[in-house]
Formats: sequence, C-alpha cells, structure tokens
Amino acid sequence: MFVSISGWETKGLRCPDMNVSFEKTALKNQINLVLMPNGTGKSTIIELISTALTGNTLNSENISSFKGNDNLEDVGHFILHLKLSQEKDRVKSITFQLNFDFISNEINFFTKQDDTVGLEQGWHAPVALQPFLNNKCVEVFVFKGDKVAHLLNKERNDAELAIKAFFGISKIEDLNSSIEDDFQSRKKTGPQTSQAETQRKNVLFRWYERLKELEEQKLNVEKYLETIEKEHEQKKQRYEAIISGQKSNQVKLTELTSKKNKAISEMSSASIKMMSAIRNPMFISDKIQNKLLNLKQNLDKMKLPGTSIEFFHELAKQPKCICDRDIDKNAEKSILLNASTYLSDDHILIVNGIKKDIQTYIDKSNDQKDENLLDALKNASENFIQTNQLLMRHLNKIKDDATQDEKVVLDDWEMLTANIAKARQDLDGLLADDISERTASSGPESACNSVIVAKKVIRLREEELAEISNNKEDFYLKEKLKNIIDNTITKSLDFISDELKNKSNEKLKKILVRGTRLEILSINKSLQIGYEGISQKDASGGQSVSIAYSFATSILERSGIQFPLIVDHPVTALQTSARRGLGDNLAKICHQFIGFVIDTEKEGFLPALRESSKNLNLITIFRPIEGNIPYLQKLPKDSKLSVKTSNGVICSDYQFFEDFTDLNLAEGEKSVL
Amino acid sequence: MSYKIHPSVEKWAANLLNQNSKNTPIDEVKFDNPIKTQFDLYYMFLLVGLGKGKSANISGLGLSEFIKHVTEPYQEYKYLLAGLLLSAELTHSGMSLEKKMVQQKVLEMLRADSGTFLSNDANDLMNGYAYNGFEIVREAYGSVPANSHEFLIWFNEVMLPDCFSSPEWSLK
Amino acid sequence: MEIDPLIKKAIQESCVEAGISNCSLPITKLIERFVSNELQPAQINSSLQAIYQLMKDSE
Repeated sequence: MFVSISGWETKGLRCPDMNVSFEKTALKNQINLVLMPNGTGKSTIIELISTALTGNTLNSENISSFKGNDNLEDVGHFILHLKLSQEKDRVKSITFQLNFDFISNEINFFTKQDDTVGLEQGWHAPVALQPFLNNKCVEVFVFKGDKVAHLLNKERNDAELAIKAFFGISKIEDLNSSIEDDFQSRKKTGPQTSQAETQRKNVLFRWYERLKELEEQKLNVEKYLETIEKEHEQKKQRYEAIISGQKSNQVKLTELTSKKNKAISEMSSASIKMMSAIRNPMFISDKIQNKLLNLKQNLDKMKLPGTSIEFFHELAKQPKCICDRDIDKNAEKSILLNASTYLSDDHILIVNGIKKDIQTYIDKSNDQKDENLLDALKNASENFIQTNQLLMRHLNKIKDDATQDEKVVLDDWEMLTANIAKARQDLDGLLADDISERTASSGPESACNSVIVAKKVIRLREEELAEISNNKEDFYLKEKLKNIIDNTITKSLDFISDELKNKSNEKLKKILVRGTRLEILSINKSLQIGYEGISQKDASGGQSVSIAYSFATSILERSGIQFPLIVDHPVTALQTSARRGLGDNLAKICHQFIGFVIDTEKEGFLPALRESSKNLNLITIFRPIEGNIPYLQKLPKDSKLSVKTSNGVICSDYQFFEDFTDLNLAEGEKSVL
Repeated sequence: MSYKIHPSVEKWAANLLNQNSKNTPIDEVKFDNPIKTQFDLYYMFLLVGLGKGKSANISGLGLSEFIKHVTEPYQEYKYLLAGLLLSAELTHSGMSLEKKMVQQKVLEMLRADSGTFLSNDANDLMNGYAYNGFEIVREAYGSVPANSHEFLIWFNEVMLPDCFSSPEWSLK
Repeated sequence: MEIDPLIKKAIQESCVEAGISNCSLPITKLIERFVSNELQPAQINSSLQAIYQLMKDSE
C-alpha cells in the first residue's frame, strides 16, 4: 500500500494560513520541495503532520504556542489530506483534521474516511494503517533535526527502535510483561500456604510493587525526556541563529567543541588502555613480577609439583614398594599418612598453570612498552581539562556578546541541555545492572532503584518460592515461555536487520557515485558502515544522508506500507556534488518525498531534481512582509499559480521558486497585505 | 567462589562507575568509562590490600556476595591472581620458603574445583584483602573521587608504588 | 494482523531450540493476536494456560 500526502491546509496557527496541494502531478515517485524562509513555519508544519498522523494530542502549553500572533480569533485548524493506493489501482482518500481551541487549550480531532460520510469526530485511522501510526513509526519517515546522525550514532539505538516499531517487535516485548502479570495474578489467588511460603510471598509481592513503582518512574522519565528533547529540537534553530549571528564566535565555538570531543575520545582511549594494562598483575610493578618469578623459580627448585598424592595411594595398595620391600599394613598406614602432604593431581594442574602463566606473562611484558601509558593518560587528562576550560570561557563570552533577549534564549537552552543530561542520567540509573540480585535481595526493596535489578531479584525470589511451595513447574514453564519470546525477539531482529541491510545496500548502490566503497555492514542498535567487512566511523554528509534514506525507505517497503519521506532541510549539510547525486536518484528510492528547504539548499539539488524527476512540485511559501515586496511584485499573474492569504503567500510556479532568495529580514516587519 | 566487597564502595565510588552519563552535555562525545564494573574496583582494592599485606577478618561483618564469577577481562589472569595471593601470603606470613611449608600453603589455599582455584579460606582471605584495600584507598584519597580518569592517574602514580614499596616486596 | 514471515520463522526456531516445536503454532497465534490488540487480559491468560498445558505435555 502506498500512503501519499496530497496536501494540507492551515489557518490561525503560527505558520502562515495556507492551502498546499501536490495533486498537480501524479502521486507516484513524486518529489516535492517546499521552500519556506527561516521563521516561516517549516518545523510547525512538520510537527502538525506528525500530530495528525499519530492522533496524539499535545500538552496544553504546547497547544497554546501554536496560536498565530495575528490570529484575532481563538481557534485554528490544520487539515492533512492523504491518499491510499491499494491493489488494482484503488485509491482511497483520508483527511485528518485538527481543530485548535486556544481558550481551553485543546485539540479536537476529526476524520473523513469517505466523502459520503463526511467528517467524523475523533481520530480514526484505517485498520491497515493503525499499527504504524504511532510516534515511533512516524519518526522513521519524518526526518527532523539530527535524525541522520542519530541513525549512525553508536551511542544511540535509533535504527533498532525503527525496526522494532515497524515490525511489531516492540509489542512482542510487551507480551513478556503480560506473561508476568498472568503469573503474578495466579500467585495471589493460589491455594493455602505454609507460614514460610506466606512470608516469602509477602516479600515477593512487595518486590512486585517496587517494580511497578520503578517502571512508572521509568515511563515518566522517558516521557519527560521525549518532551524536552522535542523542545530542544524546536529551540535549536533559535539557538543556532544566535550563534551564527556572532560569526567569529561561531567559528571558534565549532572549533573548541570539536577539540573537546577529540580530547574526550583521547582520554577515553588512554584510560581504557591504562585499566586494561593494570588488570594484568604483571604490569603493576616490577616487584610483583619479581615476586611471582621468584615463586616460580622456587617451585621449580623444589620440584613442585612433584609426585602426586595419587601415586602414593596406588603404591599403598601394592604388595611391594618400588624399592622391592614388602608393604605390610603398617607400611601402608605410614605411606597413606605421609602421602597427605603431597599434592593431588588437581593441585598439580593449578601449580603448573601458575608457573606457566608466570613465564608467559614475564616473556610478554618484556616485549611491551607500557611505561608510556601513565604519561599518555596524564597528558590526555590535562588536555581535556584545558580544552574544557577554554570552551566554558568561550560560552561565557558568547553570552556576554549577546543581547538581553538572546541571553534569555541562551540560558533557556543551557537549562534544557542540563535537564536532558540529568534525565538521561536518571534513566541510566533506572536501567543500571551493576548489583547482583543476591546483594539487592538482601536489602529492602525500597533501596533498589533499578528496574533491571528489581526484575532479577523477583526472578530469584520466584524461584525460591517455587522451590518451597512445589510450584516449580509453573515457574519454570513461565520462564521457558519468556525465554522463547526473548529468543524470538533476538532472532527476529537478526533476520529482519539482515534483510534490511541487503535492501538498503541495493538502494545505496543506485544513489552513491559508482565505485564508492561504502555500504551498511550491519544493523544493530545503529547502522554500522564500512566496506568489505572493515568498518568506518563516519561518512561524508552526502553519504550519511543517502544511507539514512536508503534505510528508512527499505523499512517502509519491507513493511508493505509505504509512507512518504518527509524531511526538514534535506541537503543543508551536503556539498553541491553530493546534492546533485541525491537529486539524481531520490525518485528511485521513495514513492513520495517532501523536503522543506530554504533558498540556499537549491544549489546543486534543484537542477538535478528537475532533470531526474517527472513528478516534481516546487512550492514557495513566505510571509508578505515589507522586505518581501520585490517578490510580491514578481508573483505570476496566473491566480492558479499563486494564492495570497491574510498572512501568507503560496506560489507553485517553478520559475518563482528558482528565483526566490530569502532576504533575511528583521523581526516585526509589517505585512503589506 | 563468592566475591564480597566493602559495603561503602557503592556510594563512595558512585562517580567512578557512572562516569558516562553524569553531566555530559548532549552534544558531546561520551567518555568511555574504563572502570566498567564493581569487579574492577574490587580488583584495585585487592591489589592495595595485597601490597600493604593487610587482610581483614570479614566473617562477622555480614557482607553479601556482589558477583559469583570473575568477570570476562580477568579470566585470563586467574592463574596469576591465584599465584599472587599465594606469593603474598607466603611473603606476609614470614614463612620460610621451605618445600614443606610451600606445599602446605598450596594445599591450604588452592582448589581445582573452585572457579578461582582458591579454597574457601583463601577466598575469604582474598575478600579480606580487598576489604582492607578499600579502607586504605578511602583514607589515602581523602575525598570522594569525582571521575575515573583522575582516580586512575592517582592510583597508578601514588597508590600502587606506595603499596609495593615495603621491604617485604624487595626480599627474595 | 499477520506478523512478518521472518518473525514466524524466529518463533518456530525458538520453539524447536526449546524442545517444544508443537507449541510453535499456538505461540505464533498468541503473538499475532497480541500484536494486533485483539486480546483482553482474560483471553491472554486463558491462551497462556493452554500453551503451558501443551508445553507440559511435550515434556
């Protein structure tokens, strides 16, 4: 099934009022560029599209922020028109409408699935689409902010989340919780038990309660993190605008940030090498080496291990000693008594192992140049401290050079960044797995602050309870089933990732310049890139974008529901040649592309798209402010090509799109309409 | 084998174990913490305890096991660790290196069916060295460590050389 | 809603490895219906009981 956006309408919101349609051209392999100068509302439209597709309302603070400054009424709306193409060319239309009420700060959803029925209250997606119209799935094809970088970032798991969302694996993970709930509910209503069982059950139920609390905390932190990360993305533009307004400061900031990141990497590397070295006792000190060598030499000198105890036990059973004397009862007793001071075969094995390893590591350490590890670590640490100080000083300078209003934005940004770091730390704590269940279990459940540890303790206590209450079988059956589900999840991810990797690489070959030695090596939590088995850390801007789009569109194709690719600033970070490459091949990899661009993104990209795409829509949207008068005067006369609303101009003329340049006006300029 | 650690380690060393997420600005590369697990800390305290030759009687302290088996990076050094404990015990007990004495110590301390090759008593001894080692480190460092790279520098530059500076470690 | 054939393959392999290949189909059905939100908690519980019984019988 192909899902296409055929257009949208907005009124009374913080972006210009508009009615955009892509139905001028066929919806198949359609490329749409929507040019909107900074501050016109690109992010707003993308946010509205996501909201319409998921049916998830925003919080009231966010809703009020959508009201247009020039909106004298207290209502607004956003309408999203979709076309669903199924087999045998059957095309169905769906409309999602969001009615904003700025007095009660609510959004009311309406759906039109059929022209004969009209608008129905509520959000009612077609059944076939419902599994895919949630935040996690929509994030796969709506590219906001640093999505491309996130997919390739080893520290994140965006790629895995995308696969889990689209193939229902996230839901399968929930099944294990249901299996646990079922087991717990049966435990509560079980038959009469002994006092010991009752005691253990009570402790177990207190742990169930604690786990519930921790899971709720985790959910709250995750929701909070999602909200502030979204806010962070939204405010990023304003922050970056302030920094880029201080040109020389910006250059220095980029330079210092890069230096600090390099210093952190070097410090990580030096610390890890140091720790790795001290795990080998031989590295610690010459004195340890000498002591161990001395031990070995003494063991050798003493001929330790010598004869084993087993030899004497065997000897004691013989009629004659090896010296040919008779072994009578007394002799036997004496041999056995004295034999106890000899080493057994097992001890001999260990002693030989110790001697061998001492020799091995003495030989190895003679080859190793490890004196420099401490110096390297000290240098890296010093370098990190210095670059960090320089960066902090520079950030203060940026604040000092900013206007009062800008300082507010910068402080807000700093606070958001700190809040995100804290929230991530809290989440890490809730997912920590650094205490054994025995230790945690020996303390009160209130002292446990990790979901993972709590689950381990519960498993331990369930097993103990099962042992004493003869419910072992139920417990083990439940555990066996959960293991099967876990294995299913792991295998599913492996199988699907493998297939997606191959599909993505086929698309990549079409987009990248022939002979480019780059492919996706594997898909784990993130996309691992490289060539012929050798991984590489990163790729150029153009290559990264190509990889990300290939991956996203492969997921869409494989899932059977092909949504459009919606991208904010698709080519900002790309050189002209890379833009050309992407433009030449974009129509080959997705059935509909909607890119929100600014004028500086046209170079290289637009000419390539004009040559390669048969179904191309170029739409310009701008505010009719004083500084844009020259463009108002250049609008085509044909009213079908341009429309003026009370606060916006929408033009679908190709030449106008090509000629339009953002004049970067000051705020507060009056509209001339 | 049951590894037991001083109960104050978790709190005192919180910054050492959770280095990654603390105060990392979100646009920054993550620091890859070299101190991965509590066992890394246990091992470092063990070295200090062995070096100083001070074990502790932990039998009445009610310590719980924090891990059952030695973690992966230390598997290859199991023989060396057993040898180090044996050597340290021979050194600190002032025992002459007479064959019968050494043999006796081997019989007392080593056990093939234990994951660490140590007997239960040797196991307790090792836990005692680690326990005391932590107390020595805590006192010597003076404050709660703020991060693992500075702690590692201090540990290698100051603590370890001091631990193995006693005449006992120079004697044959 | 049918789940992806690769997920079905994963279920089958996991059941075979666990020694209960005859439970592969009911487990697949349970997962399919769970993923499509077709089941109430009580229905999940009764499906689980049936699967546990099958697992017991396989041993």
